[in-house]
Amino acid sequence: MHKNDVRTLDSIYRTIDDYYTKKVSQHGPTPLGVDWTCVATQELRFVQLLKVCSFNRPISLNDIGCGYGALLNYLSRRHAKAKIDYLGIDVSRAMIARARRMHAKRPKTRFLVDTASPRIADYSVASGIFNVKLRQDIKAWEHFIAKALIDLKETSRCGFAVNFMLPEERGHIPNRMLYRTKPERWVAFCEAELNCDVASVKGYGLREFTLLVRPTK
Amino acid sequence: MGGFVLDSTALSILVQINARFGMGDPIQEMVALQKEFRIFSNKHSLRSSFALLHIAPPPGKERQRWFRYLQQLRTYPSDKRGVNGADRIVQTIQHNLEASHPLPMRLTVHPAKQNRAVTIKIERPIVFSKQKYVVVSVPTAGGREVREEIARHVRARRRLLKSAKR
Repeated sequence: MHKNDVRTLDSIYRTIDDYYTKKVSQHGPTPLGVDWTCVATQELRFVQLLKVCSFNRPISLNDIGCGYGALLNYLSRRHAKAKIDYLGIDVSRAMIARARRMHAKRPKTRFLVDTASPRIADYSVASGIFNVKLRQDIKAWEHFIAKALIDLKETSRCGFAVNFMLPEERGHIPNRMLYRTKPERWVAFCEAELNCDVASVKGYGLREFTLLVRPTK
Repeated sequence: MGGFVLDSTALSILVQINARFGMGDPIQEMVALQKEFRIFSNKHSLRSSFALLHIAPPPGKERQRWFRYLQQLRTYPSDKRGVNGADRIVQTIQHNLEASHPLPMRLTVHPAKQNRAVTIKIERPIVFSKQKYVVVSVPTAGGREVREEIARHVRARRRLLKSAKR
């Protein structure tokens, strides 16, 4: 990777870290602390992302941008019997500290401060990590997304899932701090660059889509 | 409502609810949430459903008062005989979100002095729009009005006690 690219990515990770550290300090380990409106919408996203997983056998799962580990709360209710070896990863040290405190007693659960997973798991999910662009220019942000998708492919044996926000309705003034895109852009990337099969899930009540990405058979 | 939370809190809650249940994306989001989690049903109180949707003031005293008010709605009558105010709201939201053509919803208030009951209507509350809404109206009194009423009661009681002592 080019030196400039590394510098750009480092700056993006630092900005994300600052942003979410402030959020969690302000709102605590709650949906607002990770920029979602409420538990219900946060969990509706988990429903879509976890469609990539098969829970009929023990699995390992990487959760990229895990925040305070809200996915574990959902898993313990909706997939209580599933055997999951979980690794949560986040760039914010403050988030990881809260996650560790909240889920200290859960077996087979680890949290790490990092930008990507150091281990290969069966599945990976990343909820909302591409949405809050802040003041980054589009080119740099899309470079960050591409890098994250490559990392996800390399660290997911059976597949991974990510979500993106869809463009605003006509007439709405777009918030320049958010990244919105159409599915085609990243479906094409995953198919051509990552050599994967991609299913795009839409129409689940939120103005966004979820990509379920699996290695081509 | 005015007796429980500040007027400014009541106003911001009305704005929040009307934004979350509004026309277009918001009501679609609510429909999807209802389909997935059945947030509004007789298994959950209005208080817990709104808490799940984070329809509440920021954490603190006002938040507690708001939730107490939602509990209190169970003691209010409604325009449906035998159904209390809180249950009437839950049933209405559930019915609408599970309908084949759900309508956007709007929460409004009316003076408790005129009508003590929670009322439901299908109306066009936005005069320049043809869009129909399910309009939920809760009885309320302004905070000052409630405090004055309480003070009147206290004074009357004191007078009564004094005259009884004599």
